[in-house]
Amino acid sequence: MSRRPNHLRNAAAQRKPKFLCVSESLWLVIVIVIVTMITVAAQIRPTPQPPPRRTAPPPKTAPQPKRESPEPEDKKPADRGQEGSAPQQPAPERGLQGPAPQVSADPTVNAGAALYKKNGCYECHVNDGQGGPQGPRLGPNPIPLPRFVAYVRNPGGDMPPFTAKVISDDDLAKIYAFLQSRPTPPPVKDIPLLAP
Amino acid sequence: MSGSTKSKNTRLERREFLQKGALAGAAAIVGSSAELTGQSSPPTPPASPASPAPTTPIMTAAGEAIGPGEVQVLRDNQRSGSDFMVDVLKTLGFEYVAANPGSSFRGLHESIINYGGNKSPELITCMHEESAVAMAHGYYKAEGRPMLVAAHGTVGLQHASMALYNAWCDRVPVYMVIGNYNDAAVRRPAEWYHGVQDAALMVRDFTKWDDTPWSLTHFAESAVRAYNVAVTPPMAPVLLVLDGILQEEGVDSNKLPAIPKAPVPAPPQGDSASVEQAARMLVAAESPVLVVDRLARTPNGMKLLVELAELVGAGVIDQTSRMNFPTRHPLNQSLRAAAAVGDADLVIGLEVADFWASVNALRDQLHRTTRRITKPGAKMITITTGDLYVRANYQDFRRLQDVDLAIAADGEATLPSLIDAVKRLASADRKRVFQERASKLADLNRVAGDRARVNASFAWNASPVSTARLAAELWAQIKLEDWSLVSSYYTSDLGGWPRRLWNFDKPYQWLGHAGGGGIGYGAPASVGGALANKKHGRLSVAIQTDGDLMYAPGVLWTAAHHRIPLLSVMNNNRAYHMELMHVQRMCNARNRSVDRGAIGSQITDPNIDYAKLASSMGVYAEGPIENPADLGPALKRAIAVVKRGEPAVVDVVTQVR
Repeated sequence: MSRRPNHLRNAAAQRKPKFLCVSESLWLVIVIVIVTMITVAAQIRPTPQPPPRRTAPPPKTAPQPKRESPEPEDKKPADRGQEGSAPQQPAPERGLQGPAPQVSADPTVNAGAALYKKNGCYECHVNDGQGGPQGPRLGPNPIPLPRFVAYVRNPGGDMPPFTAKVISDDDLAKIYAFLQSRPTPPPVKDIPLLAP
Repeated sequence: MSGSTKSKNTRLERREFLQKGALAGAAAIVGSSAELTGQSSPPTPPASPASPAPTTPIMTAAGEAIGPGEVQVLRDNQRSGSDFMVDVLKTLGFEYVAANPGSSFRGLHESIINYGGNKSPELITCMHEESAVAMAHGYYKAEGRPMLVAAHGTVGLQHASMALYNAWCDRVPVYMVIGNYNDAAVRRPAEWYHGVQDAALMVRDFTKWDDTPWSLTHFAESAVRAYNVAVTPPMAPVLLVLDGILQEEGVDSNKLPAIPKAPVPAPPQGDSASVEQAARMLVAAESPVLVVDRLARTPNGMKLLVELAELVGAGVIDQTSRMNFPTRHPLNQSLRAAAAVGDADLVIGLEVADFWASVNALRDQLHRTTRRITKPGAKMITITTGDLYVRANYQDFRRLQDVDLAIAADGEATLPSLIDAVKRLASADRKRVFQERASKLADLNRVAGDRARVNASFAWNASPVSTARLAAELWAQIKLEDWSLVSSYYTSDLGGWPRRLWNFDKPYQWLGHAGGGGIGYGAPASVGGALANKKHGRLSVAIQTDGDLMYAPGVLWTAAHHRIPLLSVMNNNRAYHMELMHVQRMCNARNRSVDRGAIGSQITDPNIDYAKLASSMGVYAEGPIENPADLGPALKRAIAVVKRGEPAVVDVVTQVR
């Protein structure tokens, strides 16, 4: 709401100049035509090239694992976001040292690779399921699937238990498929570096 | 007479010089004060091209009015207190002093480099007090002698405290001196922040002894006493607080106190009756096992243990806080430790830090449970200096295990009498039993070794590089050299792959753990170990984890500056991976989503370029290497650099374990 008195507003209107004696509407038309011409010209010009690199290229870094496909909403744990404070967003996947989803003709294997990583199996059983100090080797010949699932649900040793709320039987079957797909290594006798 | 005259003239010349210097200094102070108070002198008129440039007077009327200060330098027949301290320290045989400089020990610093000639000890410039102490920790374990560490009081000691705690837990002697201006009446302003009433208090719980000498006589006795206390088993760090004024003031050269020549006490041996009883139990046992941890204090420790094990055909489980037993010895049962303990009817613990955990297991679930892993009726004996030294606050003494015989004594010192007793007691029949047992254990050792090699073959060509592949590639490059693995279990060791795949058979080839589990020990300790190995011409190799290095990466500069040859191979899994596993365990226990476990323990986004980091400090570096096929050639190039006497870093992106 303007508080300027009417006589001042009128005076301001009277002071508005008619630039080069051309009306406001005509100026508007001229501006539109010029902008259109510039736009068309830009489209027919070649794409600008980046300037030549003046510094050494950055060092190679580890290839970032592909981002996993989004988890279906119905597979998300029920308690996610039910904490007292707002849940922190998961860290970006790039650079994590879990196994990258495998390039396989079998989509189940690929899904299993992603789940093996997502559920932290790799932390103890290592990236390719080969085992480590905290967890035994799981692939390429894992124990039968029913025993595998039973052990994951109720492990006997130090392994933390994974309930159906955390990981479904279907997802465990996919992880199982990933473990089965692990390559069989060459015989030790064919690896000179492992000679006794 | 002439000598006296010359001395007098010299003093006069020096007095004149210092007087002039004092006047010039006063002028500078006056000038500075004027600037500070905003008083400006009249602007100097621009010089004409024909006239010479005007000179700025260095003296002012105000400055000239200030008389010369009292000249304070030591007389020719005087020496500083810290010169005498260096005399004392030289008698203790320190080869190096690791230090990050600090004004509270400026007197000692100057005495070391000028009066002492920067030799024995030679000053090693460190970029963090924690690095200095951890270097001394690693140095001791390679050399068998303590390294001197000097640090600022308070602030320096606070930085050093974590590394001191590691050394204390590991029962390693670190000889540390710190400065402090005890007399509050003469402290400069900054020294109030650094001054402290009881400087050693903050680390007294995890040092074996400390003192604050009030005179040079007091210092001489305490310095020698501190050394003897530190290196007498059970060994541990000691600390001396050196008063700044005591360091700096002079004392007549002909009135210097005597330096005590107290010899290092002999380590405590087990009493003869107890040793005899232990020998009887060992000879009578059907399946004894020797569990060893901090046993081998000296190179002789390994020889004695091999002799005892071969004498009775007993399996040995090396918990590897020291290089106790050759990895490929047929009686080494470390790769099947739980099975060997489970089979045993007699378990003898020799300097085992956690004997309870050697014969029991704790299940780390929501409700923790424990179980004994030995068979019913199994007998147990411990021989350890741990029974001679238990402190109240920090809980490194572990759970108390029921045993049948406990001998409070040094394990290595007790082995000769135990071996003699066994030789006396072993009949021909028992000797045959010993031989048959040794043969079976050799078979089990061979099977365990074959299984380890098969396990290493999995993920052999994977990228990131498997830790087994890294260990095998490194072994291929060093196995024909006189090598020493100077990194530690807590920070590297690739989940045990070197011990599974390499042939450790010399006392200096493995330096043990961090002790207290404090991360950040690995990098400086490996540089300290490499420093000790340098004069022996050994090829020092470290498997360096990423998280550990980033605590104080400046130690790479120390290695470059002092030309310390060390090959540091990064076990770069881009995470504090052990902590990641702990968080995951909590997620599982609370039945929550486990896919967020990585938050807070990943070292990614951005990835750290360790090769650039090392290069920036003058260290040869390659990487990051992700293709295992690239690893061997890179290691070969880096080893060539190390053989020239310099450090090198090869950054290898590895699988998580």
